Amino acid sequence: MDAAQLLFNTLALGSAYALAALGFVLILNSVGTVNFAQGDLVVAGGYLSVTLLSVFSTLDGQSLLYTLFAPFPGILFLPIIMGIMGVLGALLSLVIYFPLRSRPVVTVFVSTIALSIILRSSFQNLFGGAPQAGPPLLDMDHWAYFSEIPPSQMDSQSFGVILVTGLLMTALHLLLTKSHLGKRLRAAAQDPAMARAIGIPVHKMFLLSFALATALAATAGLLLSNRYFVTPDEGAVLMLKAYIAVTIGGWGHLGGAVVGALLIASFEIIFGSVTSQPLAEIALYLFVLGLLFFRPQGLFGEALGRRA
Amino acid sequence: MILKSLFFLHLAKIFKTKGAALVIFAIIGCWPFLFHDPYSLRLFTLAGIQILLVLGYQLIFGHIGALSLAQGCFFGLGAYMAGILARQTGLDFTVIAVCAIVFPGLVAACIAIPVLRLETHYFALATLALSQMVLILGLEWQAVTGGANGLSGIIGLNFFGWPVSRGAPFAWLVWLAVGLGAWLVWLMTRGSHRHRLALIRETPLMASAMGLDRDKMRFWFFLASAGFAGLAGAFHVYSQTVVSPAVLHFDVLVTCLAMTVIGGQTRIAGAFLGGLLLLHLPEWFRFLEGWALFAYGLALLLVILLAPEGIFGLFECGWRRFWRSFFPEPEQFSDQPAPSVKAQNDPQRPAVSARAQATVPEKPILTVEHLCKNYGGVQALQDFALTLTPGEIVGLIGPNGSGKTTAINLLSGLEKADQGAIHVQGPDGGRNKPRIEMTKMAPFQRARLGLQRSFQTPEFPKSLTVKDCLTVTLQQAPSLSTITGDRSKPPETIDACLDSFQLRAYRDHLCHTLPLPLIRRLDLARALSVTPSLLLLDEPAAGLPAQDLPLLSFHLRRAADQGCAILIVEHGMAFLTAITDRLLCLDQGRLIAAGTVTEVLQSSPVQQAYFGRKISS
Repeated sequence: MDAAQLLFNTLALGSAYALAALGFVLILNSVGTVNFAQGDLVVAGGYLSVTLLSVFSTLDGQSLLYTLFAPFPGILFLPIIMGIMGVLGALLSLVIYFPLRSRPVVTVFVSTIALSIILRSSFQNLFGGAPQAGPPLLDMDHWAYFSEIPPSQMDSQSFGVILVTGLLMTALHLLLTKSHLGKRLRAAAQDPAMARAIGIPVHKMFLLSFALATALAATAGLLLSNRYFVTPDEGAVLMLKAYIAVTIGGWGHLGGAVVGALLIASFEIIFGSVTSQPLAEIALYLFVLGLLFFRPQGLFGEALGRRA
Repeated sequence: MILKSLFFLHLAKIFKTKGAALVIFAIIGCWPFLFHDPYSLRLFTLAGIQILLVLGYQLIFGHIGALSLAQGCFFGLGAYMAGILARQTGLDFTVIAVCAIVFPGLVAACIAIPVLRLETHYFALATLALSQMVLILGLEWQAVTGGANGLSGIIGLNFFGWPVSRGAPFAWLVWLAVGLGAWLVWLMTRGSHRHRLALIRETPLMASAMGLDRDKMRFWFFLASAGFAGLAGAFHVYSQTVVSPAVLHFDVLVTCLAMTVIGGQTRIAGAFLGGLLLLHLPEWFRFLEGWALFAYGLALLLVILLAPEGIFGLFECGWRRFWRSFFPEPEQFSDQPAPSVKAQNDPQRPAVSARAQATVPEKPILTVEHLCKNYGGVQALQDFALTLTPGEIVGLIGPNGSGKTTAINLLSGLEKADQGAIHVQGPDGGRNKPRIEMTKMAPFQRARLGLQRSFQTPEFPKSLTVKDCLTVTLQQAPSLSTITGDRSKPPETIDACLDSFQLRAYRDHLCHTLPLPLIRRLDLARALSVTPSLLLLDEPAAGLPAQDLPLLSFHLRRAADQGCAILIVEHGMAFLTAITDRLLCLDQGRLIAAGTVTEVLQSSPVQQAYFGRKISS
């Protein structure tokens, strides 16, 4: 494998991790606790896209919808999945967070662990343990006459993943920094009491954070589903990667989480290609333990102060 | 006759308070006699193993409140240790059990030293990373662990040389360990230990102000939890005759967490109830087939939402309510009139305390030099210097944001100074060591050197009553340095302390239900009852009703007369000028004036800082 291909793979894997990690940070910032089910929400997005694909492929080959979107089914599914999972995320927060918000933070942590167990066991029973492939972002069979466009060494899926992630992250950044709504979201997360005092509906903002985080997680699931397949147990590893990315990048830092995700992906791919995959994982965990020992505030410092 | 009725009353009281737990233990005790077919006996054994695991997890998760995700990992480490030793050496089970307890304990110590002091989420991540690492090792290090197939043929358990056969003898061995384990946990968490743990778990700042060593407690409880898990793992291997990477899987932790939360996080009977439920869950959930884990998750979520104290908490609550209908509880306190302070408060009191007037200057008890603290680019405190002698009351004033609270936090150790030195008189009145530097010490270490502080909004754990709070404080007193340095002198009794602070009527009230002025009075009582040599007060009078002020000044004056040096941060000038011997004034992190009360209030920098210009007096 030459360097360009390696870099390209790293970017693709890193962007998917970054999407999962971003959702993780959004919830972290608003609620102040780890969402242990973040990885399983990614997997839920993956299975939703698999289901949508099976529905889509039963469509009449001549119908308008099919002819329009057959070259890029993933692009069609993206808004549908984000919508469904966003609503689901808001509904879930009504069960796992809002009844517990006056209790210690650890309690919410444990309730997300419970959600994670419930989701994982549901996937196992509904879809079985075998890996399933999701829809491609760009279906190359329909792009035969364009096959020269993506450089031959870079496969089209990775290209699509990087592109979509880049667009979504830019959109999220603009939403949070430029829009009125984004500023309110951040205000509610940083100081709920003060935000409430100046008339921001804090609970609605938290609900929205959950919806946004779940939609991002589900997008990551869609992006990963074709290239890396979907399995029920994958969520635990993804959650751990997001957790580590956020710790590396600095607890509560959006940008730091993205950098952390890219670092983990490059570490995995480069280290893994030199030695073996298990060794790369062990090295990553040792690195995390070392980081916690020497610099627990992460590479860019903690954005999240201690909340009294 | 009277004795007999007293005895029964006592029995009834025990039955009312502890009966719920006794019922659980009785059911567990009867179980093997009611069902002794091999299948039930096996379930009984498995439940015992699970209870051992949960008892350990209660220590770290329930009592310490740290979310360890490595309990399954320690279980697996114990299992592999026992499996490998049993296959390779055939040692006696006593030796194997010790190894299976010590090995996870050592791993726990390695991980605890760097990360146990960190916040919950980092600790959870570190323990999760450890579990993943050990799981990968278990799968990949085939030479030692047998890889994915594991190690099989682990039979022949010898206990002190006696072969223990599978079935009933093995079940009794497991339950012997469960009994010993429960006794050990009871010793670690009974009585005022429970209150201490609540302080460490719920209000760490208050715990450190009382001189409780939070890190040490967390460390040993974490190690103990790993030891319990290791022993459970060793028993598990013998009950299965094989050890495979399944013992390292995350599901072990999930089951353990579910049992702990469902049974009750801090109650021994809760662990047993969790185990008892586990006896039946596989039966009840058999029709669910693959959905068993789903049911665990759902049950876990429901109990978190509906029964924070677990099912045992619900059971116990119902039990007490049931018995209360038979034996109504007597009135908890009589609302006796509080002793008047007026008699104690001498109007002829001199403006400056007797000790401060003494001609012979005493050795300073606290010396602070060049103390500096920056937050980002803001210099919160610059070149702060202070000397306190025994019996002196010094006021620290300054406009808002001038660095007063920073000074208190640096002195009490809640924040670390960037520069400068804080020296304090050595323990026992400086008999052995005249001066000790405490610039880098933790808050609890400073408390042990005789430094106490009060809080503006003191927080106490939800389960502590006023009496419990003072019990812990007074039990802690012998480890703290005092004014006199005489540790053999018994500390004040709780009742004397309650009376002198007029808290007698609230003796059995839960601390956090009291109104703020009373909580602050309790905080002051706590700080003064251990006769500290140094007391830091952060705005003690702010927000207090006017009739409480004489009591406050009376106690401060009394402590000073006994030799305690007091530093008060306060805005209320009337209160301050009446009680202090001298004043310091801060502005924008710098000391701008020091001296007697009138000197400071008249000085032009002070008036400049407060009013923007000098005012004519």
